Amino acid sequence: MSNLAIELHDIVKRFPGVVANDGVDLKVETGTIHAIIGENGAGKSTLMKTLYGAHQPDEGTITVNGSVKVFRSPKDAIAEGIGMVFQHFMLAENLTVWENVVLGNEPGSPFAINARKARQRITELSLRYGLDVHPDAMISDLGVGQRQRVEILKVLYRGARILILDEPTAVLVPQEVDELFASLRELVAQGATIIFISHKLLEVLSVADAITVIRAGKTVAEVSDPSTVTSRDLAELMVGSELPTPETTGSTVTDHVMLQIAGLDVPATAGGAGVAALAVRGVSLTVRAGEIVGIAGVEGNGQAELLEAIMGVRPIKAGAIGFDGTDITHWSTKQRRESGIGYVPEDRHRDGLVLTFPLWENAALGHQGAAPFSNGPWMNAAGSRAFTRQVIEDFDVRTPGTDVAALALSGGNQQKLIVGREMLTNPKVLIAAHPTRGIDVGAQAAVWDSMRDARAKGLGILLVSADLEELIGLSDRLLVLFHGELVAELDPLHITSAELGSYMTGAKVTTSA
Amino acid sequence: MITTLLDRWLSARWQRTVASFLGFVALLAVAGRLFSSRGEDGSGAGLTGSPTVSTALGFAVPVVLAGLGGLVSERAGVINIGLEGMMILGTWGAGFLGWHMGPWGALLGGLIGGLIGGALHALATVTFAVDQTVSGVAINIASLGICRYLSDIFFNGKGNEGDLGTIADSPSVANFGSRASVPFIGDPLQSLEDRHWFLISDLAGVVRGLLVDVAWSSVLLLVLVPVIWYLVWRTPFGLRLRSAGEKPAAAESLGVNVVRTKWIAVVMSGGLSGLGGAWLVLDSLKYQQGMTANRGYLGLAAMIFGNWMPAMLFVGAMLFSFSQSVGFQLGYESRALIGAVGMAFALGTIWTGLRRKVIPTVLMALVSIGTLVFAARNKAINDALIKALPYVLTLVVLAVASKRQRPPAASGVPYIKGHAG
Amino acid sequence: MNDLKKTLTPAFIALAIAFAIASVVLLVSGHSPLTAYRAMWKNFATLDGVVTSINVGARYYIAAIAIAVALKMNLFNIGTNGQYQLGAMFGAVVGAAVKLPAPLHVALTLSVAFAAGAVWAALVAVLHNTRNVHPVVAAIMLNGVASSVITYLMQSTWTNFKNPALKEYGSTRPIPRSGQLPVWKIGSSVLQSYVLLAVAVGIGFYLLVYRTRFGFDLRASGGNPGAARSSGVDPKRMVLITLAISGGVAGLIGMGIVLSSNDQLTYGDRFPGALGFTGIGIALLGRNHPAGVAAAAFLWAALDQGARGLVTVNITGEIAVILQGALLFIAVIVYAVWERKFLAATIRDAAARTAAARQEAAAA
Repeated sequence: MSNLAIELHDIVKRFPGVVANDGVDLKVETGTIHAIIGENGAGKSTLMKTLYGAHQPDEGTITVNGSVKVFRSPKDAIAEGIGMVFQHFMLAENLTVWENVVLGNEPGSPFAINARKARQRITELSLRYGLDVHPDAMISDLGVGQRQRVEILKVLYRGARILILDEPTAVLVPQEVDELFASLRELVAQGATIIFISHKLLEVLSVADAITVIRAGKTVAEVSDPSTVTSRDLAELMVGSELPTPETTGSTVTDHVMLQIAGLDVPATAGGAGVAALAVRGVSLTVRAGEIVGIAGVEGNGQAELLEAIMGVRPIKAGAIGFDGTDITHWSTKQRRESGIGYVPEDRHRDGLVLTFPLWENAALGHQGAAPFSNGPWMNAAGSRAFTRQVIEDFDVRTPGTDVAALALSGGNQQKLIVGREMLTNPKVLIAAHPTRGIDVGAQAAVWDSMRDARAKGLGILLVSADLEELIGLSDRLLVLFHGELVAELDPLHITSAELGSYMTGAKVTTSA
Repeated sequence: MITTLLDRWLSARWQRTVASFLGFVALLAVAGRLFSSRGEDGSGAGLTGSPTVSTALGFAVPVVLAGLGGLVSERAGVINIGLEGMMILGTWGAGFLGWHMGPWGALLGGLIGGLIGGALHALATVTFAVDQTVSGVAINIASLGICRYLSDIFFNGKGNEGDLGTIADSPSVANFGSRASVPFIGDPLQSLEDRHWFLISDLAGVVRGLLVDVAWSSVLLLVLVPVIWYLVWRTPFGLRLRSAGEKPAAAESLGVNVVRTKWIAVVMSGGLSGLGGAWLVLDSLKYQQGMTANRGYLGLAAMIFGNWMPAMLFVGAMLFSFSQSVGFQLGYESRALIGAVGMAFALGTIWTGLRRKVIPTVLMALVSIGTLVFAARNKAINDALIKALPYVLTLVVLAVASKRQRPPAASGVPYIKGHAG
Repeated sequence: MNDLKKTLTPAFIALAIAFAIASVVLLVSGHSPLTAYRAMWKNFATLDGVVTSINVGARYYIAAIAIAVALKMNLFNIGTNGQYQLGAMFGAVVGAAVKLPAPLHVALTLSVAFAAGAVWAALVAVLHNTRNVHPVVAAIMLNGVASSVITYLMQSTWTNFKNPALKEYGSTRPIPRSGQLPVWKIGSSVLQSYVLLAVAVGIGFYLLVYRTRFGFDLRASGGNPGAARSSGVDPKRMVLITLAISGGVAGLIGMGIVLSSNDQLTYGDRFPGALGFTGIGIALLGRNHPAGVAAAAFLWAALDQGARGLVTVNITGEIAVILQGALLFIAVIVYAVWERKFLAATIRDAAARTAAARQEAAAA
């Protein structure tokens, strides 16, 4: 054992009702890339926030470069040379790159920021580590990869020698991941230590010098030489059991077109006057009964806008939407939902649930105009409750009952409630964004099963997902959305994640329809 | 062709500013000659007369101060509907200290009254994460009662013979003795203004109204416009303040004390609004119940109009106070102002027409024709309607300007510490 | 029972703190709080005191329900001041001008008042929906415009009537007998049947908000606008309808004064002007719940009534206003803190019960 940059010993962190970390140990050697892997909810992010001083552990010790530390706030951690790049970017959109970078640590006097010095320092750092961004650019104008570089610059600007990266590759396509890894290797070569959180095993194996596996809040394995393990080994350590895979068996596609979209243009900002940029440009696609059509794309390439336009939540600029032979282009969202279009929105907290409502009212959300949820102008509480009990049972929603507020449930259980409510109301078409995001492995399989069953019974599904395995495994056809346009149509039986990734970055284009 | 040339010339900011200013004066000059019936008896200051502009500048001060208060608070992520109440507390404080200590005391009292109001709002919204609108409204309601109670104890029956306070008024407060002027330009401008040359005299009147014979209280407080701009956009504190309003979690993750930043911003916001109240007291020479007359809300409107930026906020407040000042002249000036609005809409019709936007063009044309006909047919405008003019104009201006506004991203979102990541 | 305790506890905490603050204020200004409160109680706890509190409370209640409807979808209808004045004026003008059988006459007058308030509030919605004008700012501006409009209309001959009984005031013509709301004599006091209107508004509010699909959409829009929209609720339509209902209810605030024979029977210079703001305070105090608001409205009116007794002990009646203001401010803080505590407890409780259920399942 050479010198340790970080040693966490027996860390316990409790939240109301949950023990997120239950005695975690972690040893990170200086000058290495150390990966921490585990399932969603295993406690990785909680552990890293503890190390970064964002909250304090209930038990356990933190040792940095050989001495025990107590971090009351991130400021203390920063002072020890620890920096963190969060999974969800911590950037103010309406400020410039340099403002975001120097925030809290501004050059100059209390009476004036020395902006020239700030720009200079940022340019210097970005040249040194190959992190190319313009200091005066507005964050709102930057793409995902560039935003991540700003995050890393923020950390480096503060002189961090130990960098924590929380799921840095989640929003990147494979090519961007390669660029990121090159930068990380450059950093390590110059003496930095990197802690890298992920659940993407192949990536971890390709970049990490050592690996710690966390399951259910506990350290379950430490791998000092990654070349001795396979991704299968790691996966089973992570999950603790056999793995399910998303895979459709046999085609159930019929000729009956359920959803037809022709030449759809969707402006980027809703309702904006003038010449707004288009988020979706000339998209045409069809979904037939019994078919799952997958849409692949890096987040922010128009998926969200496309789905919102189909649901009538976002105005369109041109094009037509047909549903089961009827032109619904000018229908309200209400008409669309009532006629049988189910919707699993991308962001469940923003669009899927009213957190303060009890589960039975949330189960009615989106279907409030029909039985069993309402009866004419009156709501039907008994009918909704019975329906909710069915969802709870069929989709294994872990809850004490139908009358608790949705906010009392974990994210995964909330997601199960949404998927269950949409599946059990027997839609003709399901518009689903990331249906298994944030839910545990067992429940993931149940959701996949229910989608496959419904497909066999003639449901048409338009599926958007960031999980490429899920997309390839479930879809009958794959479409790739890049910069708001469909750039490829692919057969999921003959494609790998890596290939799909190169289509998603626009590196490869086909029209092999 | 014309539009591209115009667009190109207007792309530089200072050119745009000068052009807008000149255009505005020209519009008023034309409207004044077309619609004002002042010539018939010779009285009245005219739309571009220095008294009208000077009064407008004064009336703008409390609105600007409330607007700056709103800006500082909202830039830090806290909506401040309580500006009205803070200004009310400011007027009382200014009445009390002004009565005892003179004009500087009035400013100090206004500041203190406002700071207390701001502290209440900060306590509720920042420390206890109360809904920001709810807290603001509660402060507005509570401040009325507080001031009445305090007046009853400290003002009612107090003061000198003939200058007694009541439950609704303080004894007299002295204003600053002299008024401020930019040296050497007063007389030349006045002689220009008196010539009644088209546009030149109008311009002289406007400039004289803005730069000559201005109350010291106005000067002292309007200096805060650039000061606040500098504070918010050029200092480390300002950057932290803006980050607290855009993405507080990011600020906290970098070690910025978001709670403290917001506290300071909200308290400061109250202080600014209270200073606006002090101006009112100095202008009226005493505290009067209800003297704020919704200026706190007008400040918010000016802030929204100004897209959360100080300079445009000032312009918004000026538009409002100008129409108010015109209303204080005799009725025929209001007629000219309505005519000016009609002409502005006519210009807007041409502007959108050249860009071939059908619906805005038709709407603007209708408004324009309606107001012009109204101005042409009514020689004198009813007093009650003149009182409504500033409110209607504010609504019109907001209706035109609000579509493109961009409030701070985290404004109105209660912030609870420890949610970084 | 437990639920009731959960709801009432924060209200009592707020009340206690507010009384403590008012006591300190009284002590500082050299009065004994006990003397003050005793005088207030004495003036309230008589037949006349209670009946007056009920009459006034009814008008506060309607003012607060107008606010509460809109607050259910997180909309602040700060324009009720203008809306109820316009409602009262148009109601009074129409009520004095027509001749109809009693129930129809009253119904027409109330409908006109409702419609006037609704239209004025709908203007706010239109400005917000089409031009993105902040509803609070729009409503405040429209309050200013409303008072000008009223002044203007009251100058014209068809509204203005010099009531010989009230020479120095301008007012509308008095409402004839067939247009009045009945009043009941109880001893020497007069109870207005307007109170029944308030009860009806309260019941209507409850059914609309908690039992109908519209109410579901309304609460969903308030709880999470994005989710409501995805579920098929049209946000603009919702804003328009909700503000119109809110403004319509606000239009009824002054009708007890206009239509009761023991009150003004006219709209004019003596008409109270700030009931709208009082309604906001009461809605917040009663947490937008029909029963809570009823309690708050009565309490507020009772404090008003009690304050009139303070002259007998040489204390300014304005202490009641301080009490009301402090109560409101403290209440919003206590409610917010309480709610968060309650939510945290809910989450903990749910997690614990889920874990227990899982263990049981595993054991079985």
